[in-house]
Amino acid sequence: MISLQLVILVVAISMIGLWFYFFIRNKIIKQAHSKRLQILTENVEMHQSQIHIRDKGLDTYKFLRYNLAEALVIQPEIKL
Amino acid sequence: MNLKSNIIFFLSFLCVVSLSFSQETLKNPDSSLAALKEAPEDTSKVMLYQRIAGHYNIVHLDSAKAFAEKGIQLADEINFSFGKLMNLNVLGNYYERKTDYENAMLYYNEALDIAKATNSTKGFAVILNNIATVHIRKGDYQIALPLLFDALKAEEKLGNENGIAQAYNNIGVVYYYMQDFDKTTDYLTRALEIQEQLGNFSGLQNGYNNVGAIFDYQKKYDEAIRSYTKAYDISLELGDKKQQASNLSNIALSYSKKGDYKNAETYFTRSLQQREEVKDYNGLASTYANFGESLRAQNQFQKAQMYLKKGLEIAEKNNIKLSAREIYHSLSKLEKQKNDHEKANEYLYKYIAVKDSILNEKNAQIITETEAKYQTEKKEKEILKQKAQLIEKELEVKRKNTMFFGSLGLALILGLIGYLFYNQQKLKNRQLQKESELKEALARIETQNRLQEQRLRISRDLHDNIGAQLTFIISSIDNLKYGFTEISDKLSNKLSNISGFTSQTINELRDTIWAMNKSNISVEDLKSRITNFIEKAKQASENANFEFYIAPEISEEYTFTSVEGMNIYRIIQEAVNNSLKYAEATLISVHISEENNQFKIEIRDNGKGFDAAKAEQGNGLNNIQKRTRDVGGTIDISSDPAKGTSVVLNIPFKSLE
Repeated sequence: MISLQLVILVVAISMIGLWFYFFIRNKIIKQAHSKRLQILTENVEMHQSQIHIRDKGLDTYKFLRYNLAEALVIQPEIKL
Repeated sequence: MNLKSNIIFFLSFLCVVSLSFSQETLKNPDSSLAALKEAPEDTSKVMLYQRIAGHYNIVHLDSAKAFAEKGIQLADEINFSFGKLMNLNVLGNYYERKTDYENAMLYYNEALDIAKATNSTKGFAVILNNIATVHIRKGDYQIALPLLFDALKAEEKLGNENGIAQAYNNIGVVYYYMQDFDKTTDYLTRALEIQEQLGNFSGLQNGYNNVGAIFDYQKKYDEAIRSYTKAYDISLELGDKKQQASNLSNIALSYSKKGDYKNAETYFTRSLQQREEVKDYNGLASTYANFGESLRAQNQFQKAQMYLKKGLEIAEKNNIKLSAREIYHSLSKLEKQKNDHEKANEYLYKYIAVKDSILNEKNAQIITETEAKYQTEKKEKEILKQKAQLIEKELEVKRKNTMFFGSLGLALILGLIGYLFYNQQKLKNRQLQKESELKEALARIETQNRLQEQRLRISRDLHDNIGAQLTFIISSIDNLKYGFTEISDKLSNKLSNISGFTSQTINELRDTIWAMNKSNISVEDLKSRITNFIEKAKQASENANFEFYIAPEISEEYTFTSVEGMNIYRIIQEAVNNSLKYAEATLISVHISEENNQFKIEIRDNGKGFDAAKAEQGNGLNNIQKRTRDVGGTIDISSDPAKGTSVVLNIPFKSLE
């Protein structure tokens, strides 16, 4: 006959096993998510830096000197 | 006398123990017989034959044989070795009880062969013990002893403490018959130690009593007294007053034999008191007899006669023939000592008569004892059955508990799985939401970036192509003016106007391109550009003074759209240029303040001024008005030829946000 101790042991081991399995699985999911977030953030930051380069160029425009050509910096890496 | 009875008790106790392996009584023999009739010819029927035979071995010896023989026959037919062994053992018991030791040995030996062939250690131990018992009964102690040692080894192999104790007892008995009392004492003591460990107090009490009897027989009275005292202590613990009195009587007897009559009298008196208390007439008769015999040995004839007569009275009144027999014997000896041979002979005849009657009664007593034993075993079996039922119930409860906890455990596991899945899904949803927000932001910024880049490239094209062409037009007009020496003033002015207009177009184109690409302008930015412009104007016009003031309550963090910022700047630039170019002003002031929730920009000069009603509006003023409309504001231009000109521009905050 199955003893009470054996039942408790099996339940405890199963619970620990399940918890461990989900812990590992969640860890993998978090790692993958973090990688995807990093790629997206890098892309956003790249676009922000490009916008910043453009704004900086336009800020250098002096009305009285009419040096607009210098301010209009084309960024060849942006493919339209 | 008492010693003798002790030894008899001792031996009968051992015999019961040795046979209890194979002797069983049935609770309900009738139902067993009925079951036997209906039972199929299989192993269970063989065992049923054995049980019924064992039962009749105790209650009705003549009926036992037939059942055991049938059991053996059926076991042979179905080839059931163990069943045959059990039935052979019962048949051996039957012949042993019939004192037909030859046949008993025949069946025991056959059973022993089966036990050896089937490697049944327990069966081996039991059969060997029974064979040894037969040898003891025949007086073949030298043969019985090695068999008992083999049985002891088998019990030791099984680790059966009770069986080991019984083997020690039987070995002790053999040594007793062989008159080796040291070994008898040794083995009985070992048996006692085991019984002590097993906590069998009743057995211990009897054991110590018997050991005391052995010591007494060996005339080791001090050891005997010690052993009897131990038995007395256990009786005290058990609260068995009758047994306590018996132990005290034995102690008294040992003291008497030792010659310590003072102590003997004390213990006899205590024993008599206790026996009176529990109304143990049998014991009283026995103790009076022993006490009287002790006094006779001390030649205290009168006192001895008194106690012996008391004992005889109780014995005759209660028909206690054993005590009566011993008392008659003592009285006969007493009268002989007193030289009254007539009375001595009279008591001797009475002694012989009682002795003969005892022998007959003893048989009846054995039957009664067997019946009592049967009843006791029956009760023991009932207790065992109840215990088995209790164990079964406990097992059932245990099984239910296991089921309950098993289900609970399963529910817990399922609950945990659910929780973990839910948790994981929640995590995934959070991540998806975050990723989706980020993707959306990326898409927005990517689109914005591309749009701005496209706008910038178009602007660059406009600047490079149209701007260059306009510059070429200005250059061509200037060449025309200087290329022709004879040119009328009117044409020259016209050409100058076209050149100026083209220059303004270039400026506006550039402003438009810049504003198109710039997202917004802060108040701080605007302030720095105006300051820069005024500084340039100062350098160009040495006679003019400038004032520029922005009210401190205007936050520098206000932002205009680039178009608004550019229009405000151009309005200020146009107004200042007009003051310098046409009014010849010496003081030009620019004030920016907040009034009635509006942005108020005032450009004033102290120049020549003009008559607004008569003045023809040029491009400059038209431009100022157009730009004012573009920013959603209002403009008020006032001029006095004596005081100068003021341009007041009001722009609501709302449009500035």
